[in-house]
Amino acid sequence: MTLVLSAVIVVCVTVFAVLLAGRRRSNSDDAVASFREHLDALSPESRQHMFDRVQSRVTDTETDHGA
Amino acid sequence: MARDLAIDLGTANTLVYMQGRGIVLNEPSVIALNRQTGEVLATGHEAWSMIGRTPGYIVAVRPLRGGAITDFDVTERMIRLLLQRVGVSRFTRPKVVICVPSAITEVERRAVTDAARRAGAADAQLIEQPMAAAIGANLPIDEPLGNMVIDIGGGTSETAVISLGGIVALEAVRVGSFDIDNAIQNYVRREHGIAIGERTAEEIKVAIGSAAETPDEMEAEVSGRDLMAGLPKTVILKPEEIRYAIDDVVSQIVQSVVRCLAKAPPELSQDFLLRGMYLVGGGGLLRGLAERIERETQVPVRMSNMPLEAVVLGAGHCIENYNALKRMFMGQRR
Repeated sequence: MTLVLSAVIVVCVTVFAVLLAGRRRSNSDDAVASFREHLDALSPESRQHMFDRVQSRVTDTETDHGA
Repeated sequence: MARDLAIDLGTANTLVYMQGRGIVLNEPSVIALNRQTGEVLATGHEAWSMIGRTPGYIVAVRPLRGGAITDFDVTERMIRLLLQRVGVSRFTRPKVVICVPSAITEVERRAVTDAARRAGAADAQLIEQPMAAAIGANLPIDEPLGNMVIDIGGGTSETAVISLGGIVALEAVRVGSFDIDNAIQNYVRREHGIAIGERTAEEIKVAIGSAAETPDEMEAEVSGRDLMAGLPKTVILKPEEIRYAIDDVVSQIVQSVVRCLAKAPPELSQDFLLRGMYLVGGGGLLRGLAERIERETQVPVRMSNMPLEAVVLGAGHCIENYNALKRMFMGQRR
């Protein structure tokens, strides 16, 4: 009876440890991915689209005023 | 469906960036009110043209000073009207990102977000002006490099060192181009005995103001009210007089840049020598300022491509990438 109880406890502890380690790894992976996404969103390439749009509006306005 | 907005709520001008559209509004942060009834009579350019020229029952005011709200109710009404002008209604409540000075207090921060929410925003997030300016100036702040940006606004001047998407060193002073205008007004009053308005002082600054000697300097003819006789009077102002008048304000700005450089880690300091510092904001357009900062810091100073729009463009980029850039917002950093 004691042997079975000990085995169950060992199995439970092992499962809990594995789950905890997996969760910790996943949290750290999430943090890395989130930081990477943050930096990618700040890259000059990601901003180019916005600058092109603003520039084209400025050009349109200048053309309108010129007309 | 509401398009989200980025707002550069500046002491001098308010700019609004609309998601997917670009800059949709750029107006002076001025509101004209009926003094007796409290009704709003005009905002933006129209209200600006009234400053110093109103009859007794009208008052044209700037509800922000030093980047902070000085009159909560008036600011809320101004934001509400500006949002209405860009299409925000009771049924379309957008998310809003507002640029504020980094030295803003907790109370001032809450005043801005509350004003935006009450004016019709579903959610209001704040972003520090130098960070938004660095994004809007298209600096490579995603890299482990020292990016330095100097944002000189109407009421504040902020210098920041940014690397890997975060602020490394920051120095802010509540001094800006309005203080330069005030210094000119005081000088003309003291030395020439005439009173001039704030718009005239601004025109003098734009026409002949400089922070360091520049080629092709001209004199300016200025008219105001003689303080002794009370009659209109015209005087000639020389550029060196204006330089002398604004020297104290310019020195405070330059010294804050020097203090920020001193705070920067040495690994980043060497980047500045190669890459230089970037000037943004209307105050950065003062003639000779870049040269003066360069002379006193021995670091090259460059002008941003769109100095007046850089801050709102940076906030606009945050609106376009709201989820990825959430950690840029004040109080959201983890």
